[in-house]
Amino acid sequence: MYRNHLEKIFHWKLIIAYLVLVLGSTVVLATALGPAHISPSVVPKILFSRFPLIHHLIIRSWSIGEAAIILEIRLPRIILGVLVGAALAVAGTTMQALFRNPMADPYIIGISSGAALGAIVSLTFGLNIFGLYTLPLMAFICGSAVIFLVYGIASVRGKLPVSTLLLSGIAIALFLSAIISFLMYTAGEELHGIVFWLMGGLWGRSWSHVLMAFPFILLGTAVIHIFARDLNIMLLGEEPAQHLGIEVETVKKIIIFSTSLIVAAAVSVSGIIGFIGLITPHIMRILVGPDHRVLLPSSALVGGIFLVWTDTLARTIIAPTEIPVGIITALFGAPFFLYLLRTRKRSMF
Amino acid sequence: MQRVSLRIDNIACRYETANVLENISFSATAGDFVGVIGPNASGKSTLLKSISKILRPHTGVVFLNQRDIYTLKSAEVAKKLAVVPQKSAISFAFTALEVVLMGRAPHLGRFEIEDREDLLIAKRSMELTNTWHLRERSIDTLSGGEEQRVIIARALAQEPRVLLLDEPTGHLDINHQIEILDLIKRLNKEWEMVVIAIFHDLNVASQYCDRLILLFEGKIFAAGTADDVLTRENIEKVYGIKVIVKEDDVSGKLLIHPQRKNAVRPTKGKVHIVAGCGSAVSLVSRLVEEGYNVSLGVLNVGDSDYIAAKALGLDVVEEKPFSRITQESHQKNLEFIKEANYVILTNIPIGFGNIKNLEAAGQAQTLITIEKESIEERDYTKGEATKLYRQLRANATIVADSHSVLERLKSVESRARS
Amino acid sequence: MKKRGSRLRTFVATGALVGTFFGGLSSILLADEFPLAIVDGLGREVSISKQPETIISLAPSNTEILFALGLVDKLVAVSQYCNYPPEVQNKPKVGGFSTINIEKVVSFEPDLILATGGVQEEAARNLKRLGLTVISLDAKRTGDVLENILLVGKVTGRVESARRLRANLEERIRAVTNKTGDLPDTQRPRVFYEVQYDPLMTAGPETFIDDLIHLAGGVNIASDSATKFPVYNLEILIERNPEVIIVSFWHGSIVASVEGVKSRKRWKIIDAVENNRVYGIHADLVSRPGPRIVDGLEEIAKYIHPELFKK
Repeated sequence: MYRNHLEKIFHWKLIIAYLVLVLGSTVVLATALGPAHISPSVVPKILFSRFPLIHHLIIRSWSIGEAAIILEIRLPRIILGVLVGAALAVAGTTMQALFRNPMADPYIIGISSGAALGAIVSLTFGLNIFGLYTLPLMAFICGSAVIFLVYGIASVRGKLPVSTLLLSGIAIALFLSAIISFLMYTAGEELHGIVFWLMGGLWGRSWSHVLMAFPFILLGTAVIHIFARDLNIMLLGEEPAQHLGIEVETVKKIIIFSTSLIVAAAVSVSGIIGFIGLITPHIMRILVGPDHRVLLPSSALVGGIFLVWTDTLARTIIAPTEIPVGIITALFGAPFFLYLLRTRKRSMF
Repeated sequence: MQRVSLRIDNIACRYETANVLENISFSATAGDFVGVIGPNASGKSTLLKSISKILRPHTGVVFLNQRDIYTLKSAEVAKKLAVVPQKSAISFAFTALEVVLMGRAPHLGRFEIEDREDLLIAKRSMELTNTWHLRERSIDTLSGGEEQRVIIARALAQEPRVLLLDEPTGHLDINHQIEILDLIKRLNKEWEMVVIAIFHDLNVASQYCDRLILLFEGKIFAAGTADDVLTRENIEKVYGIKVIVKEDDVSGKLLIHPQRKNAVRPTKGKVHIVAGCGSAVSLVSRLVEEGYNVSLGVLNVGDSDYIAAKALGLDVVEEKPFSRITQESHQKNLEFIKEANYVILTNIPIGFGNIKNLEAAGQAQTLITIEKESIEERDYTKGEATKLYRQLRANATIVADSHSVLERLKSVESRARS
Repeated sequence: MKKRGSRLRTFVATGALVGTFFGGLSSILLADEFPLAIVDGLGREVSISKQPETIISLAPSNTEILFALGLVDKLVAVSQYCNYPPEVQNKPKVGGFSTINIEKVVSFEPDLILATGGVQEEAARNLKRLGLTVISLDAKRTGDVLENILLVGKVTGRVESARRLRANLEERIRAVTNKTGDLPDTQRPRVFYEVQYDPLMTAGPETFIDDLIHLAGGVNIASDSATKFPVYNLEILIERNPEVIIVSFWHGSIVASVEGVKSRKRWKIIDAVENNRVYGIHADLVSRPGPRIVDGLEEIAKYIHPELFKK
């Protein structure tokens, strides 16, 4: 019986290792794919030429344009896809655990509406203080501001009742949506840009975007993983969790702020990409079980893999035109999820 | 190891501005099994919450091993104190073993994973609650009772010194109820735990608890042993019902019998029963159900028939316990007999104490007498009773048991109607 | 095999000829006199009872045509986007493109209303139902614009002005296509037109911009796109390596936009940026189906073939 348990832990490690491998291959493969006509054999060479020790061994046989495309256009976009996909999947998992609600997604407490407002204000008024990075910065600041606002409203004498949090988040999101709708209605030529941003996508993202999002997503995700077991126990209910020694109020606050951090960072660089945060945790729960100690890292990895593949489709399927990646995520993710539901009889949650 | 002690020192709790608990003080040490009883909204759950660090009292202190629990970390407290709630609403797919293993969390560091010892402890807890065979089942597929036992196993996996339970046997079948309570009682002694449990069933509380705390409107109304707390006066004042309290024949613990109001209105005639020693218990309730206006006499207070009759709110001509029937009560008895349509004499032993009952029965107009044994076998008056009996027997209808009495009455009724 | 350039030239010339013929024919048939009946840009028959004295324009392109025909004084109200000539900005406004205030339009009791197709169709229908005279103009290519000018001239009784204007415009167009029509593909620079940056959007096939680039002697690298205004993949932009980049702007200065393009790190390897051939143009000049589209053509031609068109 102990062997069973040890086996289980070992399985977890295997799963994570396997997913890391898949992620690695995904990144390399996706970098080789794209509408520009670059031969796949050249791609690994270009990639390895950047590694400090190996690069002497590689003979340069590609053009500057090809290198630019691989290293400056595709690779940062793919890496960003990994980060954003992982962030959204992790955020969805924690929101579902925190609210004990299978319908929860990363945007449920209104962060995305705040970020959207920031982005749209930036677009509408043509703000340019920090150049091209004004928009993501505005999105991040406004998204984060929402969480403080929601927290302030929902907090009662140091406690944070989950139901109030949910309702305040929804109310604020609705209010901000109204403002956004108004801005869109009165927008002139900016409307195009606003609509595309809202649909979510990774077009034109560069290493600067990666650098902007990476620290926040890494920090938030690491903190959440530290509290994985606490999340398991909180699923029993807040009182039982308190009885088992979890400082429930403190953990709630830490989880909420970490989640908001990673969602705000993700949304600020990629717009509002739906579906990944909601469905990835469900899929992974069916495949690896509800224990967050394995669910969180595997959701993160699968979220990254999924977004990279869907983004690859989005940028190649009717090249050179790009499709918003949110459309692809829903189109492919939903049927797969339904298939899983039918073949596995385990309960959804 | 130091014996665990729990001391609640004059705590008071409130929600918003309403005081839910006031002036609560008591203590418990290893091996104590304390029952918390009281009507709804008397503060029982609140008391448990304040002891388990969920609801902080605004005055007073809760000491666990002489330390204020509100200065301790929750994990520290959880190593010593476990709570079994009234019901759980777990709606996700953890296995029963995984749920029980969560009970080991207080003992594990943040990055530690459960090891062999944790698993052994979980196994032992599940075997104690007879849930080990459910270990790989998903918790949301278990029945209410099975789930409750798994939760109890989880609490036991914490290796607590103090165990708090809120109505621990609510969803359980009677066999599991007894099994669990017996288990908790046993562990209470073996593991030298403090057990504090909320009970809604006073009789169960009386059976298992060493001490009781009766709460009423947020204050301690009575505290102490069952004898001290479970008195007719206390129960009437707190619960508002009249009861009979007697010692249970089997366990020797106190049993509460609530006096029920007659559900059936008497529509048929008056029946007076001369009885005693529990010979009329079933007859009485069936006659009442049939709609007869039943009275009894003369019975000694404390006699089983007396208790049964009082429980049904019937008129009883009573005599002091263990006393001979006096002239007074004999007269009263005769009055009832005169008023009655039917008089029934049950299969009672006759001694000098109650021979007057036989005399009274002889005065009945319509007498039915139940004869399970012959009068000689029941005569403790050296023949006097037999003589009297033979006389009244001549005018009486003789039946073999209570059932026949009813049949007789029914046929008399129908004849009377036709 | 005729070269693409000369085929285009023939097309424009033929179009002009045909247009003149029908224009002339209709003027012979119906003379400059009212009442008259025409078929508008959406194929609907409209009858004009008398020469309109009060006109409302629901689109900037229509306003510019009216201005070019000298009819600004008869313009009693315009759309909120009408900004040329500057004086029309002081005129009363009746709404945006799809948000036309019907009541306000009716309150002016205009003799003629000039609308466009697409989103304005419903508003046009409503106005017609209320008894007003509405003409809807549509244009997909430069040639259609010339037709529309004639049509407006006819319904406003300015046939002569219209004909003169059209002839003038055709001449200017020919001044460009004469030099560019014969150019083989090897002498046509690759051009990328940037509508906006985030996300990167360009003009695809069947747009005015595409048309103008061809007329001006260039090749629009996005003319094989699937949609008219596609979001463009950066890789393809780099791969196709345009020699000329033209940036459009709506408000703000040309200088800022051009500098903006040149400062983009990843664009530095594009030929157009390396060789400092990034230019800006006002979007109104290249997307409005009015007479100024020829201004746009001339400007683009100078950018694409500076050697052929001196300033």
